[in-house]
Amino acid sequence: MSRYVPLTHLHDPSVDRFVPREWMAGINRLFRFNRNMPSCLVAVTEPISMAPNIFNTIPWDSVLLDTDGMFDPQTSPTQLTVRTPGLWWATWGIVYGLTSDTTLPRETRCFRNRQEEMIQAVNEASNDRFYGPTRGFMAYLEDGEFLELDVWLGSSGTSNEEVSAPFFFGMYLLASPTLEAQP
Amino acid sequence: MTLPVDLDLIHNPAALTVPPRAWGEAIRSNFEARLGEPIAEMARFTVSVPNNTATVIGFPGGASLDTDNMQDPAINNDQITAQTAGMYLVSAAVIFPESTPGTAGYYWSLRLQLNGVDILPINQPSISGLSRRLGLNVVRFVPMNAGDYLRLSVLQNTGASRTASFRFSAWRVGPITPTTGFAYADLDTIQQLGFGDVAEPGLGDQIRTNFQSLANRPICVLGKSGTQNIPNDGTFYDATWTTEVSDAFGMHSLVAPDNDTIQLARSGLWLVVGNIVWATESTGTRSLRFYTNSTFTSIDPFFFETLTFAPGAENHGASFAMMIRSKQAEAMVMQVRQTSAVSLNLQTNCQLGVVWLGE
Repeated sequence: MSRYVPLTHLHDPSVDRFVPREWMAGINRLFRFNRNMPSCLVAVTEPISMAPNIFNTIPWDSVLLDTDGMFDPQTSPTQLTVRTPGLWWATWGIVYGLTSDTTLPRETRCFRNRQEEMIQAVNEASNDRFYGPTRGFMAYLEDGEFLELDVWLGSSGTSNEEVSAPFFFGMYLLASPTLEAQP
Repeated sequence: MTLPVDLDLIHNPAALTVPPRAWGEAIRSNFEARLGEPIAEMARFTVSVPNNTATVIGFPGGASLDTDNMQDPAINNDQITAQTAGMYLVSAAVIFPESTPGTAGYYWSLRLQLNGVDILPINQPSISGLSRRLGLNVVRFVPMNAGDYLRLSVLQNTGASRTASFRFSAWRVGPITPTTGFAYADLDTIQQLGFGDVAEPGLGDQIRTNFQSLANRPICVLGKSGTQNIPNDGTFYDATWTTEVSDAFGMHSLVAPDNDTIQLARSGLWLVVGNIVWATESTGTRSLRFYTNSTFTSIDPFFFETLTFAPGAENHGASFAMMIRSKQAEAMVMQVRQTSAVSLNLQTNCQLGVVWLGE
């Protein structure tokens, strides 16, 4: 649920008048909203073992910040769901685990409503370095849309490969011109 | 765009007075301006990119959102033009198709341009003879005057035209040099709401101060006045910063050895951006990593190391972006290493920057 309260919904000071308390409460809530725009930052704090050569969706095990109820670890531990429509900044970074099989790369893709978003990265596998990419982009997202992160751990074998930890996925609302029109 | 209005020019309730109509409307205008800071975001899919030809990408479909008339779908639709001077956070991304062959010597390059000049190249070589989709991403702080424009250029040398998809966006973070000293305060600390209809003395001033505080968020953007030599011994070295593009909040020192570090001006949620550009050289690998001594949570500091290979034909760059939640005065450093046949210079268009997003 968005924390935004449209000012005009509370009071439109069309004439000189005293300050009604509802209007002042609206101003205060708007300041708080602007001070802390809707944002969410989640992390993986423990390494995850995953099947190779398929795309696996990352489940996030820790919440560092969630101002808008965007992350529900019980029902949707892989999703960051937008509660306030607008243009969002999304940033993720990942750290791949070490592997003895470096013949195939690691690939990370961002999904939007389970449809592939065009933000993606490919890394070489390594047996001695914890390599990983970061990505940052802006996208207009409606209320209810969600982002996820999938990884593909290449291997010439069938044994599980590992993503290391910690790494993160974060979102921050940059602008929302539709807010003023919300009831 | 609705410009912020100085409330003091309309009404300064130093005593128990009745605010006039214009004061209330100005408050509303200022909130609308805050929620409509200059920003533009475009996407375009299935664009044909010719072989071995630098190609500037246009966006005839326009923007998903453009709050300051920064992009025109009909005229110069390859440009994001600043109408309002300030520091902009710029992001560009490209994906090349999965069918692209991974042949040695092939590479893809994404270049950010300011006023028609390349300011940041990011490259991706083919990987291990494997056909995988390749994606590149540039994130950078760019100080812009009104009229300055950004463009996105791409180059690939796979021997044939390839189809690619793009995202390109810019958001005005705030002034290039923000004003400090505005002490944000919750209005409840001045007037407990519900105690009557007349504004207490100081309430109007605090409303004004809060707007000024929101419009001048802490930011630090660092660059290089000259090159920095990095030995080819595979050891990580701190990138040092000899130019303060923006540091009104005093987060960086130009005096060595502390000129490698940003110390955060306040606690909260921060966006961190780093760019590294190497001199042209065709052998070995390049690594970029970032660390912080953040102890805001029980989680260990985030730590990323990107491994890239040099295409050789041009300057080679890498970019990272991350969000962290950190405490005031905690430090962050960017390090690089390289394993080419010679020592290499970091170029002057390297950058490390942070901006405060919220508490």
